[in-house]
Amino acid sequence: MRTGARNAGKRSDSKPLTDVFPATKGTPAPTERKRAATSKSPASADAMPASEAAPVSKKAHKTQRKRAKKASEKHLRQFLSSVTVDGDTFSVGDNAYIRMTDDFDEDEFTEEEVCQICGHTEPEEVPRIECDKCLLGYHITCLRPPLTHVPEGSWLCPSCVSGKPRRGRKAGAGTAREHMLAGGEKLALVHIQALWREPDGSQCFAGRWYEVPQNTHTGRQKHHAAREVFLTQLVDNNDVESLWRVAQVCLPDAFKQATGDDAFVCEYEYDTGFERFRRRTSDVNEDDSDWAGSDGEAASDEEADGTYKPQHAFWAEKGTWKAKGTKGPARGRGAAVTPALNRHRARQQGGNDWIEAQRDGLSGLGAAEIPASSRQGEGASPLARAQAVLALTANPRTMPCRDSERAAITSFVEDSLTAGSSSGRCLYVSGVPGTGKTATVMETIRSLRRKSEARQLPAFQFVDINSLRLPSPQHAYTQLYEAMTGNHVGPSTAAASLEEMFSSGSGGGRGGTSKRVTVLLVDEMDLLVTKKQTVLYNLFEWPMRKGSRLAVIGVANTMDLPERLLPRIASRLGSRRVVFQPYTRQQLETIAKTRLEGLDVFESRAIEYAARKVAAVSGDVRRCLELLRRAAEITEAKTKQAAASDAAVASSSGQLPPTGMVKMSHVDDAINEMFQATHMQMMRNCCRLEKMLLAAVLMESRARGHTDVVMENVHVRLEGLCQGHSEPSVPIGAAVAAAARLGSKRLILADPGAKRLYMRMSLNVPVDDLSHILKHEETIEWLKDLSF
Amino acid sequence: MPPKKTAPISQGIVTSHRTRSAPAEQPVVASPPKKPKQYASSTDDSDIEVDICDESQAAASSLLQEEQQQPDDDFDEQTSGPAPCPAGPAELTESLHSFAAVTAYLRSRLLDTFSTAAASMEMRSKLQEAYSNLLNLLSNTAETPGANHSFLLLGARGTGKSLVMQRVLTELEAKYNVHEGKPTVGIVRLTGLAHTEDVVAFREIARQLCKAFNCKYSKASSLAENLTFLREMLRELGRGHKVVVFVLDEFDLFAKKAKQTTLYNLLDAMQTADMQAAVVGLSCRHDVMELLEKRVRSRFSHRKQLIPEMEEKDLDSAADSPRGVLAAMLTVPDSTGDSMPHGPVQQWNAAIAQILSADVVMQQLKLMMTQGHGRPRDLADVAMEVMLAMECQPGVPQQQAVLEGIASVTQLQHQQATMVGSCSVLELFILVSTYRIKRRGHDSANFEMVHDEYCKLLEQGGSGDRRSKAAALRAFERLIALSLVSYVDNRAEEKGGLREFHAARVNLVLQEIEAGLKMQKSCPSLLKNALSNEAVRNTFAHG
Repeated sequence: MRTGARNAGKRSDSKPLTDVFPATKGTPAPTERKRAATSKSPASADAMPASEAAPVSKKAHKTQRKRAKKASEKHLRQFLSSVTVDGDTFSVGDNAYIRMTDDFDEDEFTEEEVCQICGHTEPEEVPRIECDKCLLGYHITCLRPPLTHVPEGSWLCPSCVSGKPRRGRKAGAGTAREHMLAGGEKLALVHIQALWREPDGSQCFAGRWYEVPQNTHTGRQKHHAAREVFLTQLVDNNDVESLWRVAQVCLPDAFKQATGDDAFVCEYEYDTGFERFRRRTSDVNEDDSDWAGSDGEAASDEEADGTYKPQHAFWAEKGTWKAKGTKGPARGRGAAVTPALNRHRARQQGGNDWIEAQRDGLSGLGAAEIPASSRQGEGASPLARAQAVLALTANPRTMPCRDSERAAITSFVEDSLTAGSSSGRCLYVSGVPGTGKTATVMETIRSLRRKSEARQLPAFQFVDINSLRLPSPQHAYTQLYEAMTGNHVGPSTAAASLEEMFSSGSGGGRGGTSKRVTVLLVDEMDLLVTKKQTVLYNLFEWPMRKGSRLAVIGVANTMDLPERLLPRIASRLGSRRVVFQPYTRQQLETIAKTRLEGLDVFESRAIEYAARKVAAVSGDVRRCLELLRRAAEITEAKTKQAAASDAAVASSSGQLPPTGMVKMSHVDDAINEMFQATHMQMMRNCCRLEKMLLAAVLMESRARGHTDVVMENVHVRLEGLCQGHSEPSVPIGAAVAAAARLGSKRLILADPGAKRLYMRMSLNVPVDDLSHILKHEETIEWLKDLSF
Repeated sequence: MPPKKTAPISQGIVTSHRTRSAPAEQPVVASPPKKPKQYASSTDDSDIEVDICDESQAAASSLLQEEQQQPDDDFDEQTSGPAPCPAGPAELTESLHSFAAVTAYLRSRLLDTFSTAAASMEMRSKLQEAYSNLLNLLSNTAETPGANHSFLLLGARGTGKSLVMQRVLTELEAKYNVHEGKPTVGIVRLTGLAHTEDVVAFREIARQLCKAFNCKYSKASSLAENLTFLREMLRELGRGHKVVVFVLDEFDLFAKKAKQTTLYNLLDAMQTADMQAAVVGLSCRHDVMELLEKRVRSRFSHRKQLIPEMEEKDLDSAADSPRGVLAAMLTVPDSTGDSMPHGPVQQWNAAIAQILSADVVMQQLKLMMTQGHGRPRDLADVAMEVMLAMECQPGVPQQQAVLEGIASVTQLQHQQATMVGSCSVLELFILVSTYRIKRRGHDSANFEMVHDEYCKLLEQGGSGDRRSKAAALRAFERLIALSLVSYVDNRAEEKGGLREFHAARVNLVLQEIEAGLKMQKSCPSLLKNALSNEAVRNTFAHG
């Protein structure tokens, strides 16, 4: 429990901002603002010209350098993973409020948000909900009419709904959150990136600032969430005394579950220099946890000697955040980051800006503003939301219908993690495209990683190689080696090094520091087949070596790939297999319904229809989802159309336009569009001469009993047809041109037109389809009378 | 007709050049239209002359009369037209200049289909439909994270796929790239004709991405780096809500390869969360989907749209017929506003509307269409011909110019006869000899056989004008070069050996040779006999 009684004197010597890093080139003003905030209001600091601010910055820089020098002399800067200030514990990776003024009075802050109707916090057991607009709290029982449970999605309080937002309390009072969101005069929010003890005993932290919407260049906009903050690129070092208490900042998905008043949502990073927004991804969080020191053995190894050094701290120590030439400690989890650091810079595509963008998010590539359309979320129409969840890019919450396969893969990975040096650590996964092979493997790995984070399983490293993203099969070595060691070398060097690494029994990491198992996923494995099949052989041979600590999962389409490989590979690969069968109708239905949970836009018959159709053709879940998505699109378009035409009627009668439900007919339209072959349409659309020529080709090939016919003969037949039906005669040149056009549409397969008389042609469409078209031709009536 | 075919073009070029270099030196008085070139010189006989030619000739000759009496009326019309167009040499020059401006405007619109001026050309309704579909789809991608699409635009050559695509892209850029230098939508165009190689394709993608989003492009990057770059860049752009539209022209050529790395990587990016992109393929093959590898096909959304050609049944409709398209190409839109002289524009548009509603023109257009020349691209050729004719003689467009334009397109099918007509007498002898051998039932003949036949023919005809064998061989080779006669084996010449003994065959039908002989003025009658008369040979054989 937080106590209000804190020593003011102690606070005064704990001046925030001991020093400032020049975090970005060309952005002195925002950095300065944070500094100046100790004595001035942010507004006036903002107005301070950069020239005025510059000397201060330089001075600060000098101080910092001096300090760094001192630190290196004494070798005493000691990195910590957590620190306790006044009973509050702050860890690396936490987000925390930071005090911005010296005359900071904690008592100003209301600790509890009261119900706006009854004015009390009691009864505690009754849930209070918060309005998404004005952020005021309400007991659900105090509302009129009272709610029985906390509603899903967004909720607006009665006064916001009626458009008369209630005024907040008088300025000066309010919760920490209110002060923070008011623009950071008293409180601001930072992300703690590193903690350390200075040689003189004071404890410091590197904090990355959060920004509130109204301080960005776009200002607060309507579609910004009420509790939205942006993570900036600005990083400062300050004394830990300025930290006040821990707050919660999360991505939108996690935010829905977040409770308490100190929860904020941060979906975007904000670059104050470039004035750009950039969406955060979940990867960022993984990076965060990498710094946190709770990560596996590599980190604890370092902790053992009392000097935990997160990567940022490592850079901080060198006095720069730029990792030029820095070789960070090679760490398994950091694999995704490390290779980018070691690559040959000069030749890197995209230039230096791009590299910086990748690491720091300093870039012009971000969005100038957050597009309102990306924030429709709950407000979007059900059809639009259905389209969003059905999109192949959407990450489903669960993956149903692949339980046995998942269990097989899980047990395989768990075996290889725990069994030590037992043999048979190769798994072959096969199945036609769109049956969820890669997705299942990935999901399994994710859940196992969570397990290993919870220390139920040993830590492991996961490497993903997709053969179709490799320039040549041999580059598989390069990728594997780079992922394991962080060094980028050529394929042959990588192969040699890997060979040495795995045969020496110190696999999975350089110098034997790491005892982790490496799980290697080889996707689209069939494309790694070379003439001598060396690549595949090596990849499946290495796991067999004693102490190699490598497990390989191969994924490909064909079930019998091992049999088609050399026997020595087949014997290594063939022992454990998982086959993904095409999805059945029921499974496709389940998948679609799981994704559409909570959205009542599809008639269940419509889903069944689509599932049946796809299951009959391929059992490919991608096609099923795309089909349903298209059906939803068609429905939306039709509903809009109907609404537009009904608008006059509706406005007079005051009715709401009908909400669209996806019906069988819509699915049918989508099926027609996506499954129907185009050749019928194309043939129907041919010009008169082309149709006559098709008829002549058909007749000629019937008469000859050959599929291949020659233009010379076809032309004679065509002339005969024309004469017999009082059509103008067709010069050979026109016939050849028509044949060439048909050839380019591939309705017939034809030699190039230059061969003229001796051009060979054959039909490239089913004969029945063609005769059907010709029989039903409207413009050329005599075609009906011909017998095909 | 062949000599006529080329005539307007060359004339046009010369004149336009002159106009450009010294417009002021233009004759002040509008010269009366030159006597129209005769349409079909040899219409009297000929099976090859199809109805088109007869008709066009009729049209032309009727026109010819009309025009011969017309020049002065024409002049009057210009001066006393609805628009105030005062008489007098100086004003007349001015009006001619303004017509030249109209012509130049329309011509530039036709030539540079990507220009903003070209965007004012109205599309037919089928294209409009495809346009709005595609625009909706791509706007959806641009606005909604995760709504990635892949789409296939199908249609025969020359129906307007690229036009639709271009219009959509222009609109997208106008709609979303509102901040100068800070684009939201980037466009990467690849064509199957140039970028099927992986190395080239990914380098090109990287180059265009860098260019679109102001990054530094490194030419030296390897394929591996470019492959990684594509994914990382797309992810980075996705985080900033930026969209990339990949346009793959000649989509089928990408699909023709065994290892479809390019398609796989692009389409796989469509399935990846936090990337915002769309792939649009353009192809004229109806079976392009079957060419895709299984895993690539699974990743493709199977959305497609066929852009239909214009149909015969729509012939009378205002917009969807060749007439409508041609009118759109030749009419100055209202949107030009004050940039164009108002009076002449109205005169011009009225004249075009009148010409295109004339029955003669309608008939010609219908014929064009039934023969498969009714595609927008062919119509653009017609329009271009009209422009060239107008450059020769600035003023109100004439019906004849349109008819001539149509003829120039439809007559391409008679070019073989033209070539025969341009051959020398010796070459014609050799050609006819080859044909006679064929008629006798031999599939092919080598030069020796042909030469024998040639000798016999001369002997039998009693002509002493026999050339040496070497000359005959050269004539034979020229026929091969013109591909009027072709070797049976395509690669005969590469294979070497004596050319005299390679099997060859005539690549023409009887009608074409006949028409050609008629065109050749100095063709001896013996040759015509030999071609049509089998009996000549018989008398010779018996005698």
